[in-house]
Amino acid sequence: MTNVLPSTGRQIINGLQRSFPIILSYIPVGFTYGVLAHKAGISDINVILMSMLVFAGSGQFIAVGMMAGGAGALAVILTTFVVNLRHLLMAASLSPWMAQWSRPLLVLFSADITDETFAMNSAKAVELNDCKAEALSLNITAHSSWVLGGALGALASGLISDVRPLGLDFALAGMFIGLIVLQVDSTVKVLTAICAGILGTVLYACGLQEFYIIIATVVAATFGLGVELWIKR
Amino acid sequence: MDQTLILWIIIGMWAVSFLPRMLPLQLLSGRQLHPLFAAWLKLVPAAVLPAILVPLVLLEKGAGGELHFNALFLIVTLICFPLAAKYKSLSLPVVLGMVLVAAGRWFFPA
Repeated sequence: MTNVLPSTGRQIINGLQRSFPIILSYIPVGFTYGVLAHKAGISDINVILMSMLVFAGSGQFIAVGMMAGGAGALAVILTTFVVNLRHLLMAASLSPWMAQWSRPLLVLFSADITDETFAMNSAKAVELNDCKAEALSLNITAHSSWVLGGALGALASGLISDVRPLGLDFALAGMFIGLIVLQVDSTVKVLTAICAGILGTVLYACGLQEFYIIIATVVAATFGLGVELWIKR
Repeated sequence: MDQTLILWIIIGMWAVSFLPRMLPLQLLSGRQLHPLFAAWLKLVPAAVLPAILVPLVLLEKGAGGELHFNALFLIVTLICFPLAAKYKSLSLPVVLGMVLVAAGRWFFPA
């Protein structure tokens, strides 16, 4: 490549700017998580700690729901594992683009892999080796806004008797609509998405409420790959 | 609830969330993946996101854990989706969606 790399400072600012749409959705979704977690009887410190350590939107919502319903520790942890297992696939799909990253920086990066940061980073995957500071800035800013949203939700929880009249329970769905629109950009991906949506719904309705995400993902991506190979034949 | 137990649950959740994120990057970074596996991985986001979203907007869990069809979420999704696609926006469907759901419940209380 002949172009000059942006300076580290410039990269950090670029990362901040690229994280802006994530922040706009993480604050309300994190806020909703904070409200629900506080209402479930989780202390403010633990509400914030979960956002700092686990950093997974749907995983945290499901865990809070299970704890509120009196589920045991092992059931909550196992469900979190299954629901968040998709990050393994995301990390694997970014790995070819990160050959020049040191191991400590990879650890720092991997702690912040979510659907949203993955969508942003994979959109500029070819630049990951050159723009480490930009990717880390994007990830850390997004994570900070997630923690902030959760903290605000926990604090405001006493003022909000029910999240439903405010439409807060739609926040997570809204974020996923935005993510799908960014990710699904080819016919094969549209077919994969339709297959995953139908399969996920059927499995969920059949009571596979811990495993529907991972099963639907693996089957639909395999189906999509089959379609792709068939088209290129 | 026992906050110490919750703390231990959170630490367990951290371990099972962090390892699947970290290990692939440590083990695979820079390696050439098999082209078929790489092509499969490229389809993962397009698969995982709808697998979460569609049940979330179609089905609602009742107080006793029974599932209901969620007409309001479906209608709001059908409005937000084309707008999000047109403006390529991550935050528009979040904000507009919450406003529409709130408005829907205000004008048509269940």
